[in-house]
This record gives sequence, C-alpha cells and structure tokens, in this order.
Amino acid sequence: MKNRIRVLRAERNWTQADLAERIGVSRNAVNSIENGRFDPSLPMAYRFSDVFGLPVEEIFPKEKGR
Amino acid sequence: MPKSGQAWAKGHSSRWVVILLVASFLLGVVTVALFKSGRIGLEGLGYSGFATFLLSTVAMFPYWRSLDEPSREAHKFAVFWGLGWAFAIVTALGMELMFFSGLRDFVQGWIEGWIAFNGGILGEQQGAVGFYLGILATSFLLGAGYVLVWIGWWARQRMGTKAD
Repeated sequence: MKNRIRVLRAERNWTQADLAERIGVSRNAVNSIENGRFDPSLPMAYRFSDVFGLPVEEIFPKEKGR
Repeated sequence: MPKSGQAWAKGHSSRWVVILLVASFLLGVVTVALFKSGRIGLEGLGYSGFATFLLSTVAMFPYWRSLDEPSREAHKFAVFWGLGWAFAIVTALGMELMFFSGLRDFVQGWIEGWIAFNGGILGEQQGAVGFYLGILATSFLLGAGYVLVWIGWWARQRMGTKAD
C-alpha cells in the first residue's frame, strides 16, 4: 500500500525510531510499513493519523484503480 | 506522549524469550545431572519436560502481548506456511518409513543405536522409546519449518528497505 510516511517524517525531522516510539511499535515495524512491505491494520493507521495530525487517507492515499 | 499497551511492552518481547530459554536450559542441565547421578528416574525427566511445557505456555501470554502488529503477522504466517509445509513433509516421511524397507531399516538401526548409546536405561520399553523419539523428531521438524518460514518472513521485510 502506498504511503507518505517517509515524507511526513522528514518534514518533522523524525527518525524511524522517533516515529516508532510515538506510534508504539518497533522501528522494524515502521520500516516495513514505510517501505510498503507491510500494510497496517485500521487501528494502527489511525495511530499514524493521530501522531501526524492528518486524516488517514492523506497518509495512506488511495492508489489509482483500487 | 501517549503510551499504548503495546508501547509499554515494546522491547520486552526478546526478554521473555531469553528468560524462557535460560530457564529451560538450566532446568534441563539440572534434570540431566540428577538423572545421571541416579537421584531421579525417568519420571523426573518427564516432570522436567512438563515443567518446561508449563513455563513455555505461561511465557507465551506476555510474549504475545509484547509483540507489535508485524511481529504477530510473522508468527501467523509461519504457523500457516511453516507448520503447514513441515506437517506435509513429516507425513510424507512417515509414509516413506512405512513403505520403503531401506529407510525403515535405517531408522530402526538409528533408534537401536540411540538406545544402546544411552546405556539401555531407556531401552527397557523399546516401543515406548521409539514412540517418544518419533514425537521428538516430529516436533523438531515442525519447529524447524516454523522457524525457517519465520526467518524468511523477516528477511523479506528487510530486503531492499531503507532504514535511518
């Protein structure tokens, strides 16, 4: 699944570890999600939304044709 | 910063595994030493194994709680594909054992050698020992399948990914 986590993180000068701490998961988990290797559940997507202060669809934009 | 239950537990998952492994190892060393010195019999070995089983079962709860979403996904994936394939292989091996005399003779020789190696202590009831060895071998193969797929899942997660 496409996501803008890397960009949003860079805007805030957060490392993956910083974001992981805020979300409450391991750094590996953030790395996997950021690189599109793991699709988070809806509750976790909402945690990203809370942490970034953005709607879920702005963090995980809908891909064309899906 | 808000802390969820998983956040609290994050970083503790490996601690539970280490505690379990060390405790099981120490229990195994003490039990084998007591068995070899003749202070406990076969029942003692059985109780020790049962204690390890109980310890593992109890440790699974905090361990599972301490895992985050991808870590749990890795275990689910390993159960389905690792245990699934390992079970198929174990079944095929069992069939081979039944129908191919060459393999049957090899296994029979191996079991007899194992019993002889253990000084005949376990050999009083060779059928029971063979059954026990079969369970051990099955558990080992199932565990190996699980661990291999689990490692593969994580390796795939890390391949070509950028970290900072």
